[in-house]
Amino acid sequence: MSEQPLLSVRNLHTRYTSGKHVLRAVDGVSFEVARGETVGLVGESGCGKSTLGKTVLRLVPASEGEIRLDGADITRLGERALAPHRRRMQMIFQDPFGSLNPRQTIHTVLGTALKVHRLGDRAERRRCMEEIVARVGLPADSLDRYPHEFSGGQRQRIGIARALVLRPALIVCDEPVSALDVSIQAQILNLLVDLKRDLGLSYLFISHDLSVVRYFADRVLVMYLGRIVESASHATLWRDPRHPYTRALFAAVPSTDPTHRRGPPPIKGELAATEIVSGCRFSSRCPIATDRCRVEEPALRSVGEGHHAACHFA
Amino acid sequence: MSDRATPLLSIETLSVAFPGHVAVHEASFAIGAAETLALVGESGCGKSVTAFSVMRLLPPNARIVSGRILFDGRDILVASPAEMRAIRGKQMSLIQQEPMSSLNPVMSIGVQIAEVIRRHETVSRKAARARVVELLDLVSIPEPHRRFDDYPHNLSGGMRQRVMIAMAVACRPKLLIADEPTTALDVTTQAQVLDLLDGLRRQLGMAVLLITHDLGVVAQWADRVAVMYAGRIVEKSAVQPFFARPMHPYSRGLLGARVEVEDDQHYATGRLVEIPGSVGSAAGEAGCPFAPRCPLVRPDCRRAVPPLRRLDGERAVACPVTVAADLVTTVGQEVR
Repeated sequence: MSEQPLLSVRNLHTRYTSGKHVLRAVDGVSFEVARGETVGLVGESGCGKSTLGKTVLRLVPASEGEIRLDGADITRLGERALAPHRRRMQMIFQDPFGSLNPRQTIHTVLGTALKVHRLGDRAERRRCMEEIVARVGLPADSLDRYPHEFSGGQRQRIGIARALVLRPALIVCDEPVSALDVSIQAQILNLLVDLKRDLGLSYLFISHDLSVVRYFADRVLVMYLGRIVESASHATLWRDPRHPYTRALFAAVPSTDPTHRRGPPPIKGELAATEIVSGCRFSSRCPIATDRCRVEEPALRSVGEGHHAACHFA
Repeated sequence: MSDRATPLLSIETLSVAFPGHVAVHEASFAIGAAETLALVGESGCGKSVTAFSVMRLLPPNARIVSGRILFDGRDILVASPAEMRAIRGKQMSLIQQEPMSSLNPVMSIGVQIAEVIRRHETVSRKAARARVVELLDLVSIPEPHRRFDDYPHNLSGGMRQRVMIAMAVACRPKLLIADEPTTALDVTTQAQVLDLLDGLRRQLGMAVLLITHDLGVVAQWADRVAVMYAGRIVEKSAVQPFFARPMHPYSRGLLGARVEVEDDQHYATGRLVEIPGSVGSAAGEAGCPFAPRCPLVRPDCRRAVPPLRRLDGERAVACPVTVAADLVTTVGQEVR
C-alpha cells in the first residue's frame, strides 16, 4: 500500500506488573489500519484484545514498540502534545450502562469533550451536538435528558455520539454490541456501517463474536495470549483459515441449523494467561501440536496474499 | 415427550407481577422427563422470572397472580417453605449465568458441593467427600482429588461453571434449570459446557429447562423451544420445524437479525435485517405487545392480545396474521 496508513502499530508490548508478577497482555503486536478500513480483532476473553485497543488509544501505557497515527509517533507523547491526536481517535465501550455518568445529561456528556478540546462557542457546540444526536438516530429532545431515560440500544447510540462529537478519524469499538439484545445488535451495526460510509471513519473493531466480525470487518486479526496468530481479509479468513486456533473458533460457533450435526468440541481447556509457555502459546490446547511446537515458537509468516499465520503447519 | 403425556413439569397460565408491572402473562409450557426445552427471549422478557417461579425463589416484591406449576404431579405453588427446601437442590436445581457470584468465595469448592449432598442425605463427611470427587470427575474436572480443596478464585470461568453443574446434579435431580449457563463463557468453552450438560441429561435422565438468548444454542442443544416476548409466550415448537419455518414475526425477526457465521453476509454487500424500536415500544398500549415493531401489523392487532393458538402437532403461535397467511398458502397449493 503506497498510501500512508491511518494507524500503524509496530512490535507493541503492554505489560501489567503486580509485585514480582509480570503479565504480558500484549506481547509484540504489529498491524495497520488503512483510511476507511475496518479491522476486526477477535479472540477469547483474556487474550489481550481490549488491552491492545486501549494501548493504541494511549489509555494504557505501552511498554515497548511504536504507535503511529497519520505517520506521527504518539507512543511517548506527553498529555499536552497528545491532545490534538486524541481528538482524532475515540472509543466506543461495551457497556452502555457503565460508561455513562448517571448524573450528567446527554448535553453534559457530549459537551465535555468539546469543551476539553476548546471547540466552538456555546451556540456552536449546541448545534454540533444536535447534529450528532440526530445523526445517531436519537430523538431531538435527548440532549436535556439523563442516561436512565434511555433503553440499552439508545444508550449505545449515546456512546457512539460521544465518540463522534470530536469528528475523529479512527474509532476503537470494544465489544460495542455484546451487551445488547439480538434485535438491537443489528440496529447498532447498521448505524456503524452508515457512519463509516458517511463520515469516512476507520474502525478497530474488537469482539469475541466471530459472526459479528465476519459481517463487519474488511480484515481480521485473530489474537491468542497477547499475540496475533492469524491475519487475513475477511473473505480469505472464512474461506481458508490456516491456524488451528482460528479453525477451532469457527467450529465452536453453534449453527442455527438444527440438522447440522455438531462435532465434538475442537479444542479442550481454556486460555490461561498465567501459564509459562515455551514454544507455541497454543500448543497445550492444539489438536495438531507436535514436539517441535512445544519448543519452537512459530513466527507470523505469509501463507498467501495478505494472509499471515503463526503456525508451523499453516 | 409431548405435552400430552404426563410431563415432569407443567406450567399452566402462570402470571407473575411486580409492583407496577406484570413480568409474566399467562405463560404455559411443559417439559417431559429427560427432555431439553429452551426458553428464548431478550433481556427483561420474563424468562428468568419464570425460572425463579419454578424454584419458588422470586424476590419478596414479586407476586404470583395466577396459574399452577405442576412438578412431578404436585403443585409447587402451594408447597410449604419446608417442602420447597426439600425439593430444591434434590429434585430440581438451578445454575446461573455467573458462576463466580453463585459460589462462596471463602469455602473450598469440594466443601460447597458436599454441603448440598449432606443437606439432603444422611452421609458421613468421608462418604460425601468421595461422592464429590466422583462428581468432579463426572463434570470432567481434571485431578478431582486435588481440586476438592481449591477455592473458586483458583478456577477459570469454565471450570467454575463445571463446579456449579456438579453441585446442581449432586443429588440427581429430575429437573435442571440452566439460566444462561454459558453467556459469560467464551465460545470454545460454551460448546464444552453445553455438551457436558447434554451428556448428563442423557446419563441421569434429567430434564433441562435451558434459558438462553442465543438461537444457535437452541438449535444445537434443545429438543423444543418456547419464545417469550414482553412476558408472553408467542411461539412454541419442536426445534427442527421452528428453525425450518419460524412463524411468529418476532421469531422470524430474531432469526433474520442474527448474523450467521456460515452466511456470506458482509456490510459492503448488504444491510442486516433490523427489528425496529425496542421492547419498551409497546409500553402502556393495548393489543399484541410486538405490534409497534411488527412488519405484518394489522389494525386489529392493536385491539386485543392474540391468544397462543395450537396448530399442527406441537406448534403453537400467538399471531393470527401469520397463521392465517400460512393457511392461505397451504390452501392455495391444494387448489393448484
